[in-house]
Amino acid sequence: MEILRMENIKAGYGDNIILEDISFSLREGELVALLGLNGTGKTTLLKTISGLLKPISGKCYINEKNSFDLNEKERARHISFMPQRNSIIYNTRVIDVVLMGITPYLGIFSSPNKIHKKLAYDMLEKMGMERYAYENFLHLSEGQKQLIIICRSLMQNAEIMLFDEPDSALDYNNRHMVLTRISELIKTERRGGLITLHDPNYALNYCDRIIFLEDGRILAEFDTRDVDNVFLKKIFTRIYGKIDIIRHREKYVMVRLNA
Amino acid sequence: MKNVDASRNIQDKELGKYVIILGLFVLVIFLSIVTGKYPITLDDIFNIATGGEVNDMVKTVFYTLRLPRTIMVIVAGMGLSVSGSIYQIIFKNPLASPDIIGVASGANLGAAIAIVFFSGGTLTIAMNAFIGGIAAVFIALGLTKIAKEKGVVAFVLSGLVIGSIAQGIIMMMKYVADPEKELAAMEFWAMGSFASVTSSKVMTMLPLFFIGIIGIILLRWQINILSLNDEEAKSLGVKVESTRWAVIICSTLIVASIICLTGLISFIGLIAPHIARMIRRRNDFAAVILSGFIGAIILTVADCLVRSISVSELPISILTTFIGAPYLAYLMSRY
Repeated sequence: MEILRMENIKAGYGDNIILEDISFSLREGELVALLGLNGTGKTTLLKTISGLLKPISGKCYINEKNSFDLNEKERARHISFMPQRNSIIYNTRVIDVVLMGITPYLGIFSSPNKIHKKLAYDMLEKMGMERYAYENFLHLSEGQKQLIIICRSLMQNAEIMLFDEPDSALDYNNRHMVLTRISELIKTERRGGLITLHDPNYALNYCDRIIFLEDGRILAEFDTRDVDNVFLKKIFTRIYGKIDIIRHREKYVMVRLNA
Repeated sequence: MKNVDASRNIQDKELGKYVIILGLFVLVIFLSIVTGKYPITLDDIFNIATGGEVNDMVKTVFYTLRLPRTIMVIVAGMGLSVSGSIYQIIFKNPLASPDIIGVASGANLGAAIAIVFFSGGTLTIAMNAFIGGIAAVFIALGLTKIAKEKGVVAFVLSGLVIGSIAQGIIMMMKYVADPEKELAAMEFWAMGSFASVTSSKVMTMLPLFFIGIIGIILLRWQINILSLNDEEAKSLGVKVESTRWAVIICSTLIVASIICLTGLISFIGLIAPHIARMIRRRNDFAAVILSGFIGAIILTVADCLVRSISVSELPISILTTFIGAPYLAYLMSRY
């Protein structure tokens, strides 16, 4: 089922147009990667979808409803956004970080109750992080922090989950661990996931579909299962230069060729 | 649910700390009532509380001097510390204090105007200081509208601009003021004192103080989310701009209602939140409340000292500065 549809989105900051003519859709249970070099508009696109940036023109439908009509609170119930790095600077218990995700369901004068706390604990269990519930969030490793932020996103119970380079501050092992968790939960929870990544190999490995952005436009969009070496090489060469695509155990891997 | 049990265990251990703080709080209230030139004993307090026989003079001193003053010191310590905590959260800056957005400079200017251009009576000064403090914050808030980047930096800069303008006008007024009376009055106001607090002034200001406090308590969870950066807070469904305005207005009401009666009190709003976070070891709304109690305890002790150190009363900010500045140095060595 289609849960998000973008139509002819044009967006930017002031006179600086970043995105032009962006149309695509997102289905339930699929994780889509947004790939592109720095400055091609990946983050701008995520911000537009999540309502942080008002587009110049174009439409965005969530379950056939115009998302730009929603206010912050309503939107936060449909779309969760995981930033590259969280901005928590003060000592906070892990469970309280997860609880922040219930905010879109609270009145402006209320705070979370026992039921919400139980729910937050359940989310931590889902991610296997319940033993950290009463630890200081700031003392966790970057990988663990990202898992906790994913729990917070799950608390929002939004059908669309956006991830802005969630792996950028992580080491090799944590990167695989976090991306594995994200792709699993998108399947099991039947959400629609849109993730920006830098490394195309992670996109090939963990995502169902790849959308390539170049200079603010969609260059290509393809399913990671029905492509071949020739197609991938053609597309990836255009963006990444001298590369080759090799096949290893049913998966494609991009390697850089030396000049 | 093993972890929930573990957390209970920790909570039991932590409870002891809070009992001690509450005990200290009660202790300093009694200390404040018995401190002063005229002796009031614990027996007297007990008799007043239970309706027993007390000397009329004791009664008068208790009701007209000690009780209003003690209430005002507690309220001031709590209010400045709570609003300091709130600003440290929403400005994401552990060094923010209640006057970051210009309330203190505005109140100072209001008081100076009352001293130089009006009668300079304590009630006139208080009213002008209150209006000055509120006006400065609203002008600063208005100024943030012209900022291109709407984040917290705009608020800090606007506060700085308005605060500096107010200070500039104060300097001009000091330059033309009569040095014997007006200038001295202006300087003393800026050093803070609880000496001129009366019950009628306290009763006038308390409702405004409570409106601000209730607003802060109601907005507690939103304040927690405002500790994140704007984009993260928005993606969690918080109306960042309007909520921040509401919090600043509540906090300004608290601070203005206090300093219009007491003059400027330095450092309490900066250090009490730090001590509270160190004790609580995390930054939630309970830490905000705790900082209120700690601020009240520190300020009461400081006020008892200024009442008893010398023959004539010292300004309160002399004491709070000597407590606050070394503490700041201590913080510097930790971070």
